[in-house]
Amino acid sequence: MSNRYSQIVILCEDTQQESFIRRFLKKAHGIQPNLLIVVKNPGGKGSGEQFVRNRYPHELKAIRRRHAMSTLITAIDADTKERNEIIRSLDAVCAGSGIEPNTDRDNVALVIPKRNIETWITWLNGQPVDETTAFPRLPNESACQPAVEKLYDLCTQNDTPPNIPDSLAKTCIEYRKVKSGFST
Amino acid sequence: MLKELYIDNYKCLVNFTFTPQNINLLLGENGTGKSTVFEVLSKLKYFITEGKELSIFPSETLTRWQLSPVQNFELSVSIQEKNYRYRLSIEHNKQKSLSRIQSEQLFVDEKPLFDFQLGTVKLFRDDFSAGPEYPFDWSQSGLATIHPRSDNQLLTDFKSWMDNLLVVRPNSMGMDMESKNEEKQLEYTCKNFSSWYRYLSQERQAEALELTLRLRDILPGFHSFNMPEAGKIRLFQLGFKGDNGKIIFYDLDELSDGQRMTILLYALLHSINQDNVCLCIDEPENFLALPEIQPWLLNLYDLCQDRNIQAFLISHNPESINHLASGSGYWLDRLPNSPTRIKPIVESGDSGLKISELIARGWLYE
Repeated sequence: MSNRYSQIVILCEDTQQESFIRRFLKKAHGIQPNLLIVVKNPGGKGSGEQFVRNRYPHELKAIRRRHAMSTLITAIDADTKERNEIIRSLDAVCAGSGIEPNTDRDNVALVIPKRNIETWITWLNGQPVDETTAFPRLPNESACQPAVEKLYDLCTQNDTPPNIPDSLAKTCIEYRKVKSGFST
Repeated sequence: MLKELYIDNYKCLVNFTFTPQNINLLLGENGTGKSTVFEVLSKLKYFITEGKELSIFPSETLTRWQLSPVQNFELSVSIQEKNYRYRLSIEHNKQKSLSRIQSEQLFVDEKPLFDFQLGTVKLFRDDFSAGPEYPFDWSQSGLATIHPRSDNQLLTDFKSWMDNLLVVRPNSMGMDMESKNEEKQLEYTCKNFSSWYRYLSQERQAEALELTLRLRDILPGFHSFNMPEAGKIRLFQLGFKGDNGKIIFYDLDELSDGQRMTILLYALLHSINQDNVCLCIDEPENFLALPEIQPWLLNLYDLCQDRNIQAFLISHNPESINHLASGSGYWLDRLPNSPTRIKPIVESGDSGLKISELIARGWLYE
């Protein structure tokens, strides 16, 4: 793996999603910032979902041109929608741009927390959650580190806890799809 | 951590108050006072920690349109959950080209630790009981000459914080490739980078080793540093390993400006990897290639989040602006012959344009 150019593109809504994903990649694969590029909503507030949706087809097209040399991680909160609705909406934006939607052949992982990334962090920190309640933001992004450590521990175990939020379980499947490309 | 900075009657900064976070990006057009903020921080550091003469605040720095001959500076700093407040008032007499300290005071949690007024210093112990009183030179910081003792730990902690304040405006073209001796303080322009690295490699070997390992990931082919003797000096060299395994050492001035800047920026990151450090860099991205900027920013951001480290950046670079401005950005502006104003950048993103694009068009705060 070259040490100079971005191997992983993180397309996300905000700094909390970015921090969670980057910290997990560093913990699980030792990935340093020079191996990735973060593409996040520069406004940072309010319109993150729309930003990811608008940018997604272009990033997908760019990743395909790199012929499996790079991976696209796309993070978008489900909020009150279902994961499949989000995926359909991303596919629709691709279709509208004349780009074939994401398939199993693409090096793409869809990270779709429901209701949002704070739901996962709260659960990983040992508190009960449901996927409809909006959990509060953390005081700062780095406060997600204990949750990242717990997620890493879960990933190294084979059995999945029965009470894992459904959206996290589905994202774990996405992770397994692309993780072989993360070896440094 | 610097909680508040107040500057009054210094160049374009009049009654200027800045309440920063742990990472701060100062933005604004040229001439709006961004670098002046750094200039004041740097001068206060050297005034308080190294006993620089009051002449570093010449009367020419009085605000041109103000009549008052007095400049005021105030730092509010949080150190180990205690709130320090440092105040300095300088009185200038332009006709006689004389300046004197009107007052210099340090408080912790609003209780006095140090009081220098009318040429007399009053010291207070850590339990705030009155200590010695003595006359002192009006043209120097009274704090600078006080050495650590068992009963002035609080005052010493404040001076240590000031000592850890690092303010630089790197000029990679002006870096010396030779080092006469180790230097603990990195100069404002980073001219003495070689001597500063020499200090790091001797006194903080773990950080120097981590820097070497980190640069192997960042700079293609980079292998190691070398500082061979050449008479009374040492040369600063960097070894690069080719595909054949052979290592060739190059003098610092044989590297490109971008390579020198990359090495400096990562050296800064590794040097600040300790608590209670405040790092101010004026235009860090100068000479950096585009792929180098975001990784360095992410490293800095993580350091600020994970450690008790504070950073201030001044930038005109779109990559830095778009990454940091939302949440960490401050906009400075001023009208001609008027004082600088500062406000946090609040941009909803509804315009559909990146913040850097809004700035380029002059639309951020019309």
